[in-house]
Amino acid sequence: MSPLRDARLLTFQGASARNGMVPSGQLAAWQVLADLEFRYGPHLNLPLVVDIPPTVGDDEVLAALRVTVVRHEALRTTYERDRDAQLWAYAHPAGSIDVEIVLVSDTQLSVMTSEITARLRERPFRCDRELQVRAAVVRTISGAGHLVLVTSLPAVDGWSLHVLHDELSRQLRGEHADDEDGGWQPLDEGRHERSERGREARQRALSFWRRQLESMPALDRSPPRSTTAPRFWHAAFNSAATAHATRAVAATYRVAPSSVLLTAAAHTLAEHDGGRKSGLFVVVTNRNHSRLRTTVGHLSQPVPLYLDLHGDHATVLARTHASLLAAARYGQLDPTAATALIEEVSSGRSSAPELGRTFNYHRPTLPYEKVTHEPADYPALLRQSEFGWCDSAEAEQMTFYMHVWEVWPVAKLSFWVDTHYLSRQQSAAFAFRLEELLVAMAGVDPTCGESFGEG
Amino acid sequence: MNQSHWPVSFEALVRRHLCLPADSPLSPDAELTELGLDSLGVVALLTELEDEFEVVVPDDLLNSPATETPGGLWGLVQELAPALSGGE
Repeated sequence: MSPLRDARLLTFQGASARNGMVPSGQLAAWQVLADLEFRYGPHLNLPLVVDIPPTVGDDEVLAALRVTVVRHEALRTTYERDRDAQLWAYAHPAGSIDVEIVLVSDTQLSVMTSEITARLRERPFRCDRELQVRAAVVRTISGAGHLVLVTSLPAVDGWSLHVLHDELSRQLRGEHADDEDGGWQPLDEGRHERSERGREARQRALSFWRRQLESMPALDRSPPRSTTAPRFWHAAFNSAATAHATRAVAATYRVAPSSVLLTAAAHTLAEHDGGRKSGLFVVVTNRNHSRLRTTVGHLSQPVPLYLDLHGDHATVLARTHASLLAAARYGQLDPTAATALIEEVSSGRSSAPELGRTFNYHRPTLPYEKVTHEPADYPALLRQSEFGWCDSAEAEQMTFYMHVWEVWPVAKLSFWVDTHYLSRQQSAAFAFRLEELLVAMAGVDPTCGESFGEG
Repeated sequence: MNQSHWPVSFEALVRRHLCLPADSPLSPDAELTELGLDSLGVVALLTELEDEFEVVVPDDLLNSPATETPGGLWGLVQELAPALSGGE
């Protein structure tokens, strides 16, 4: 059947009307995007697809979306620079969003969802005059369907998509949102950052950055730039063996799974680089803070973390764990101050610290389930591992980005890799080497003092 | 330690991070990991305790034994803010 199309206007009103300077996380994202603006691509608009149960009608879908837009100021915000080039956010109390409704056959659902998602993504958001979300509904004649959202990266990042997905899914299942006003909003965070307590916290964060940057060696390798071919490839790696081994190592050495994965990733990269130390740029889980966890728009900011990989497993894991915990408290830093610090530290070096490698750990909302069975059958698990390429992109400012979406029961990892640093073949090898290393670590008696091999 | 020694605001803040029914008592000696709080969660909790009680927890105490139980946490807060020693 040919798709049947309809257009609805989602209106909202009565929300809070506020304005203020943006928090550091949004400012940092804004600056990164400003640098990329001349190569702006649709991959910087983030898509989200939420399943619609067959019993839920279009009006209920729009009602759920209206609640979410009202709850999260970031979705109904526009941004402007003032005469002093300061970035201000304006949260609008009322507004409207065009929502296309498309009816298709059951077999067309997936294709149509992809088509509409691509169309909503292809145009950059005009952040000074457009709300930060676009939406469409794709329904099938049997009733099921998809709610498609595309959001603007300066307002909503990948972590926030999970918040939106969970919230909309719960509403479409008939559950109410937690609270109507959405809690602590980005504008609240911006005001807090500029309070006396906030300034003190940012000063401590700046001191932490300085300690890390001053201990971080410059890397020899500087990936060459190319404008003729896509440099960045996105790959996904799903591995139950990695999940079991990570949990086993974490339990044995009494450290967090994130510390285990970071250590293993740093070591595997160090093997590639020919060294035994590695400076990684860590996107810390700053949104662990309960006031930030349920509201979108609190963008993460990377915190530099220098890892020393010398020593036995126990020593290195404990050191990484302590460093990661220390870094986890310093989520946001004024990017202007960070830039100045990086320039200051770089002035005494022959080259700037390599800050293009990122580890982004998505901490689960719920605690991990306890492992109650016997140690896993690793050979069988290893056969289930999947590595696949997703897409390529041109405009990024990184070398290596590892995002841990889930650890249990299957570790779901994403990689964005500059192929001038790791070729596609080397990237695949990296993922399987990471898995191999973790499985080996899980099989080591912790009392034997096993150390990481020479790079 | 008896749980009545800590302020209501302390217990409310800690409970927000735990998988603990509202009608279940919060024991000072309870292992926070047993109540669903991992180490990154402890750091988040400590950050909020810093804001609530206007203290600063040194980085080297983030992974100390004092952070393993509610009683240990409250002792840490008191140590960093002696004025709180008498409770509320």
